[in-house]
Amino acid sequence: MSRTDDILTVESVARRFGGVQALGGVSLEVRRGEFHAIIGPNGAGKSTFFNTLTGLVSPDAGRIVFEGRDLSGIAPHQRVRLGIGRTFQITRIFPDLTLLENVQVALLAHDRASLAPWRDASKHKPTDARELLERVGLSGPSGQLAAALAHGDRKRLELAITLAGKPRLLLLDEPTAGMGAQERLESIRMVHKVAAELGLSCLFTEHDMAVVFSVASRISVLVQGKLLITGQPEAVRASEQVQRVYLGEAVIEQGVG
Amino acid sequence: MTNPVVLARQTLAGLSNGMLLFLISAGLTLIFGVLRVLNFAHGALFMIGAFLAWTIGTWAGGSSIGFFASLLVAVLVLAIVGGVIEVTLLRRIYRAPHEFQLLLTFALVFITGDVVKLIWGREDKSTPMPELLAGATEAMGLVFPTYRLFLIAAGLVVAGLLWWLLHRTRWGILIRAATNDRDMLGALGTDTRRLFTTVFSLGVALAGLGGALAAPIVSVGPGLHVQVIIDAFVVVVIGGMGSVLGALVASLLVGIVNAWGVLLLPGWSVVLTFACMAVVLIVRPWGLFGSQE
Amino acid sequence: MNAQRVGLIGLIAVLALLPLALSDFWTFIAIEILAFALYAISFNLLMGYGGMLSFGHAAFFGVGAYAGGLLAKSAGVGSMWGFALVMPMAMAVAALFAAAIGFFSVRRSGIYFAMLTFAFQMLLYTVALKAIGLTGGDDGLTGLRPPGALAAPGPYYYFALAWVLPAIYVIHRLVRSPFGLTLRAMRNNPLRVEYSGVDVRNHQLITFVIAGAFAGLAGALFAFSSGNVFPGWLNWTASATPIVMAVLGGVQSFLGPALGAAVYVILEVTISGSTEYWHLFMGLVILLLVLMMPRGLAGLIDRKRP
Repeated sequence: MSRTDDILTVESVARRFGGVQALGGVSLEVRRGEFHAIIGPNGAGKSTFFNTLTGLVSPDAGRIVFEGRDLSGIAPHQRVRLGIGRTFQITRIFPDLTLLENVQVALLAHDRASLAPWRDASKHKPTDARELLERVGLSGPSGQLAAALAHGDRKRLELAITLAGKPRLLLLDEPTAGMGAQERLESIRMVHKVAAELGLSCLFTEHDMAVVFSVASRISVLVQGKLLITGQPEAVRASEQVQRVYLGEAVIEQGVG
Repeated sequence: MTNPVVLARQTLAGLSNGMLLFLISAGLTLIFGVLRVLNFAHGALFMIGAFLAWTIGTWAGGSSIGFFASLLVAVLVLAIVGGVIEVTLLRRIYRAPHEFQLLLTFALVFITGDVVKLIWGREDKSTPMPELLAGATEAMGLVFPTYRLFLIAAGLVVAGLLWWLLHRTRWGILIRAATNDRDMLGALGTDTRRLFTTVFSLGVALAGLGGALAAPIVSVGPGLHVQVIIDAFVVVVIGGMGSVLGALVASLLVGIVNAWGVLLLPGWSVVLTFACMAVVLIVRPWGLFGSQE
Repeated sequence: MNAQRVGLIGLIAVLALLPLALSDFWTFIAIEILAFALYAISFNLLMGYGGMLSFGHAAFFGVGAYAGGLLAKSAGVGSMWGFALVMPMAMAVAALFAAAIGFFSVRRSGIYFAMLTFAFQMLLYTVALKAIGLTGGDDGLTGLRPPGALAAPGPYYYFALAWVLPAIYVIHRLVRSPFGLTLRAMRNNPLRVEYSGVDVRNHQLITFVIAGAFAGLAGALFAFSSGNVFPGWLNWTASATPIVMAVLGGVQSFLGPALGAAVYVILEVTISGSTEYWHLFMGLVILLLVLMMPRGLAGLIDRKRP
C-alpha cells in the first residue's frame, strides 16, 4: 500500500536471470525526503534491483510506481526526464570534456535542447553549471578537462551531472566505492547535505556500515533477492535476523555514526 | 529442376569450398577472439600462401611431393611472417584507438597486394594439380573430383588438430580464456605477449595453408584476396567471433549455400550472404557460437 | 581579430583565387580535394566526434555519386540551375540510404556496428555490380559532364566551392552546438548521456544520417569532375580512404581531415603518376602514420595542444 508521501513504491518486483531468481518479489517504498540505504551481501540482487528501477532491466513481475506513475515500459532516458537521477558504481563522466561542459551536457538534456544544431553550446547556462560544481565541492577551474580529476572528484562531478537533471529521486549505486574510510564518510555526508538542501529523496546501495549508519534515515536489507527487513537504523541493527543472516555481530557493532 | 547428380556434385564443391573458407576464417576468428583485432589483411596472407604453392608446384612440375612440400612451406613462411608482423607492428598499437588497428591491417593489405604484383606479376596463374590427387574417385555410386574429397578430409584433419589444441593443451585453455573472459586472462598470470604472438602466427599460418590448398583449384592472381576476406568476415560473424567451432559450421553452411545459390539464383546468391551477415548482426551479433560479452 | 580568424580568411582567399594560378589539370585536382575534404570531415563527424567507427562510409559517397550521375542523365539536365538541383537531391538520396542503414546499425556498438556498416556497404556494392541496367554494372556510369559553362574546370571549381564551403561551415556549427557537445559526450560515455535524459540511439542515428548526406554530396560533386562513377567506389577497400584522410590530417582538430584529404589526393596524383605501385606507397605511409604520427599532420603542426 503506497502512502501519499512516498515518492517511489516498488511492489513485488521479481526478476529471473537464466536459472537464478535474482529478485524474488521485493516490495519497498521510498518516502519523500528520506535517505534510504539498501544493504546486503554480494549477490543479494542490489544491482539488479537498481537496474529495474532505472529501466535497464525489466522485471518479470511486479510494479514500480514513481510519483504515482507506473514505470512499466518506460525507457531509461525517459525515466530520467520524469525525475529519477542515477549515479554509477564505476564513475561515469566525460573525460574529454571540461568540467563545465560535463555539467552543460546534462543541463542541455534537461532543457530538451540536446538536438539544437546551430547555437553555441558553451553559452548554455554556464552560471548554473558553475553553481552545481560548487555545490558538490568542485571549486577549481571549470575549464580543466575532466580527465585530470582524481577519483573522489570524479564522483563529485558525476553527482553534479546527475543533479543538473533536477531529479527528485536520486539513485546512488555504491556512491563511496573506491574510497578510503575517512573519505567515504566525508563523501556521503556531502551527498546527504546536498540532498537535504535540494529536498531530494535518496536511495543508495552501500557496503560500508559506518557510512550507512551515519546518514541513513531508513535501511532495507536485501538477501538473495528477497527483502529481509526495512526500518530505522536502530531497529535494523538490533534485528537478530539481520545479525544472523547478513553480518557478523562484530560488524554491526562497528557501525557507529 | 536440377538433377540429383548435379546437386550432389555442387554440394561436394560447396563442402570443399567451405573447408577452404574454414581454414582462413578459423585463423581470423582466433585472432579476433584473443587479440581483439579484425585482421583485414588475412585474405592477403591467404593469397601469399597460394602464390607460394604456385611457385613450388610449378617448379616441381605437378609432382605430389612438390605439392605437399608447398603446403609445408606455406605454413612455415606464413607462420614466420605472422610472428614478425605481430611483434614489429601490431604489438605497438594494441592500446591505440581502434581506427589505428584498422588502418594498420589495411596498410598490410595495400602493401601485400603490390608486393605480390612485384614478385609474381599481374596475370592470373593456374597451379598444376598434384598427380596423386588428380582425377576422380567413386563414392556412393557417384564420381567426384578427388581433390575436392581431399580438401574435405584435410579440413577435417585441421579441425581435429585445432580441437585438440584448444581443448587438450594449456595454450588452448589460455586461448579460450582470452576469448571468453578477458579479465580472467590477467588472473592466470600468463605472458600475454607470447600468447598474442603465437595466436597471430597460428592464425596466419592457417590462412597460408588455406591458400596453398586452394591453389590447384583457384585462379591465383593479385585480386584474390579482395574477395576471400569478405567471405571470411561473413563466416566469422555467423559462426561467432572467437569461436573455431562456429567458423567450421558457418564455413560449411556458407560454402553449401553459395554452391546451391549458383544453381538456383545465379548472380545474386552473394547478396544472400551479406543479408545473412546483416541479419545475424542485428538479431544475434555473437553468432552461432560466440561469447556474449 | 585573432590569429585564427585571419588564417581562415587567408585560406578562403587562397581558395577563391586558386584556379587563376593553376593549370586545368591541377584545377581538377583542387576540385577533387574539395570533395574529399568534405568527405573526410563528414567521416570525422561520425568517428572523431561521435566515436562511431564506420567501415561503410564509402557507401554514402558512392550512393551520392551514382544518384547524382543517374539523376543528371535521366533528367537530361541541360541548364545550370537544373544541375544545381542535382546536388541536394543526391544528398537526399544518400541521407535516405544512411537512415535505412543507420537505423539497423546504431542498434549495435563497437565492432558489431562497424561490421553492420560493412555488410550493408557490400550489399550496395553487389547491387552496383549486378544491376547493370541501372548502374552500368562493371562499366559504371561514364561521360558525366556538368552542363554548359560548368563543364570547364574553373567554373566547376567555383561551383564545387560554393557547395563545399557552406557544407563544412554547417558541420562546424553542428560540432560546436548542443547537438555536437552531446555527441562528444556520447563518444566518451553513452550510458551517462542516456542517464541524463537523452535518447542516445536517436542522436547517433541523426549523426549517421548527416554524415552520410554530406558524404553523398561529396560523391556527387566528385562524380562530375572525374566524369564517371564505378562500383569499385563501393568496394570495402574504398572504406579505407576516409579513415586514412581523417587520421592523416588529425582527428582532434576540425579541419585536420581536410588537410589530410589534400595531402592524400596530392600524394595519389603525384605518386601514381610515376609508379604503378601506388598502393604499396600508400600502405607504407599509413604504417608510418599509425606508428609514428598518431596525431596526424595537424598534431605535428600544433604542438602546443595537449
